[in-house]
Amino acid sequence: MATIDTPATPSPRGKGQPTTSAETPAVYKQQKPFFLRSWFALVLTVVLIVAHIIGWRVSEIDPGRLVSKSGDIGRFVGEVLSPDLISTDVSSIELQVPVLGSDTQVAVNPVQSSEILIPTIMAGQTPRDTPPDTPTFDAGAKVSSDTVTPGQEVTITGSGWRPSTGGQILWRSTGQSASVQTLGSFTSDPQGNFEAKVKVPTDPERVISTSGFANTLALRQNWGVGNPYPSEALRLSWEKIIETVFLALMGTTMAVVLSIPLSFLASRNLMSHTLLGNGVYYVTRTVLNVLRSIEVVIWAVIFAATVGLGPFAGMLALVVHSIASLGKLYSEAIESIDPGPVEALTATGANRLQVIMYAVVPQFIPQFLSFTMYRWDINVRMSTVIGIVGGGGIGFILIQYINLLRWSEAGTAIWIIAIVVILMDWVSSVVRKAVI
Amino acid sequence: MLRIEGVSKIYEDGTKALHKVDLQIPDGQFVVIIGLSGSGKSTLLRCINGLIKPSTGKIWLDNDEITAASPTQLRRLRLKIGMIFQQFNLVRRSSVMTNVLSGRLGYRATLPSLFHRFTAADYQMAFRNLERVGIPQKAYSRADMLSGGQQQRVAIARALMQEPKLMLADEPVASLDPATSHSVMKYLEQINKEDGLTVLCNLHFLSLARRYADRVIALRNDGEGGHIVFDGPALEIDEKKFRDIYGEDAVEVEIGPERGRLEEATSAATLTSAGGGRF
Repeated sequence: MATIDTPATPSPRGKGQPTTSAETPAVYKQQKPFFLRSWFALVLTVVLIVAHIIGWRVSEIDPGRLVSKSGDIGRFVGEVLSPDLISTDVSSIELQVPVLGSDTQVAVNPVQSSEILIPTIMAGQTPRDTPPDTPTFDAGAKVSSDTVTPGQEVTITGSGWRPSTGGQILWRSTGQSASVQTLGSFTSDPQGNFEAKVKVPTDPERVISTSGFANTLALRQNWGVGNPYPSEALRLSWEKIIETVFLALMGTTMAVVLSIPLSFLASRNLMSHTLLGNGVYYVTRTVLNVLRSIEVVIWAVIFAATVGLGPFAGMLALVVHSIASLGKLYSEAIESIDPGPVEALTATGANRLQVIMYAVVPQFIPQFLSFTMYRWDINVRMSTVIGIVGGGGIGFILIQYINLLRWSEAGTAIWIIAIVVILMDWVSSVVRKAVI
Repeated sequence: MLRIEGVSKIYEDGTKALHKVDLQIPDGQFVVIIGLSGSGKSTLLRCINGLIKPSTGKIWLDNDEITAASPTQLRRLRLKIGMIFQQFNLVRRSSVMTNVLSGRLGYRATLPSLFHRFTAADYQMAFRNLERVGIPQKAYSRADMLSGGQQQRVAIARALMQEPKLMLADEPVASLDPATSHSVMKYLEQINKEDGLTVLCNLHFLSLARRYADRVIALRNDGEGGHIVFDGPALEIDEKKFRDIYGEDAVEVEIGPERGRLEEATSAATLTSAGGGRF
């Protein structure tokens, strides 16, 4: 009997296996993807996809342009990363050798030129007086050919130049498209001699002179004189960042002074005792909300249009925007204080103002300081932006440099902003830790 | 003499806290009010100093009607009524001295007090009161550096600055361990016996009431609002009265310095929740 029973035992198990696998979907039911679970989910998914397709077109997204313009972008980034920080005065001498252009090969003779050159000194774009004791150079140059065809190679030998100094060889054309083009460079030996080979431009318009005037091969040496000094962009950026920091300071201080009383009026726990108080509470809250919903840049434009361009407009914009945000932050800090001490001091017979001064203010101070510092941080960053719309400060010169495509100068301003903002962040975190 | 006549309180949310409470407390009595949480003890105390306005009924302190006082008159009357709280309610970031001096604000003109100007006499008085509660050396510590028992003693010193004739204590020892509880209760007993202040104290523990009270008043809230179910000397509270006050399931726990341990405080909490109170 037992032997018959024993083989019977596996059979329900064998039968059971298909049964359990049939039941499995009920227990371990595969979740449907989100968009197939309900009609709503499906519609939502379709709407989202369509919205993104439209959005892609509306915002003119074109990744190809990022690739095709990568050269430009790289150049801008490169210039911004090498900001214009230090300048030196530049002393230069230039000698010109006339060379005719021709479309056919003609018999040529060497051409020679020499002159006593007095260096000119430039500080950036501005010329400086040359000191009377400046040494002069009796420089001469010989070009192997007085007439050239486009793309022809010529040899230039020079003597009497400033020893061991680099220089450029420029092509000043007088053709239909008058222009200056760098052909090459040379370096004089310790005796002031050099020899260089350059190719004249291949473009016939730049070489063949229709008016009959000769083109010029200009030889120019540049060298720094005097000590290096901060560049114009650095000096201006420094001046303006200081204006920016003070702009933020004044904006913050005035906003704090004005928003403290407002925040008390906007605190439910202080105002909700009387009907009048409740009214004041709601009006103050509403005004703060409206003010906050308008961005600081818009305020800057409005004030620049009313009180004129400059830091004052920027400061007013910061004040209005900071009041709106500080008023709300402060009043929420006041609402979150422990009501116990307020009750205790009310019970001693102290009046409303005394209760606020002794029970509310001490509890409010840590958050007050924290929010105020944070706001100053924000205002320094904001004031760089409001300068762009005419609110004074460093943003004003930054946008000018950008418009003039002077990227390395713009880089100077950007770096100064970054450094000052990081510095302020650090200082305020140190102060915050010390005070609270 | 404190007189309470027919005081009821129904809160705006409909909670019925007190129902027709009548009470007369002669000067110099140490009165302990007991009852479950929600029996209206705290509401009754806050009606007496006008922190809460009763829905109906009248309260007199001597000849002044507190329930009919204007805001200015109410502030004057509050000077005579000190109050201490379960959570001490000190300004934690201020110094002990500032906390004690703030009990004097009602006597001082608004403008100088806003700039922390107090008289030399006020400072002397503050030191005297801190000496009384045994912590003059803590005068210039920040309040939150003190232990719970010390904070409650600062709160007593603050209330004493009012030179009150009535001291309200809303569960003054409920946040303290049993040993500290007795030290705080002893200071209340001291100001009652030595200065003749009337003390009105809410307590959870009957054992503390038995030890300190001249008179025990028990409140119970059956849903209509708290009303008085017992008024007499603590010794008269027997097993039956105890069940009347705390409900059928309640068991009395002892609290005392020699036996006081944390677990008893825990069982006291159980007692409250076991009762048939509104909560």
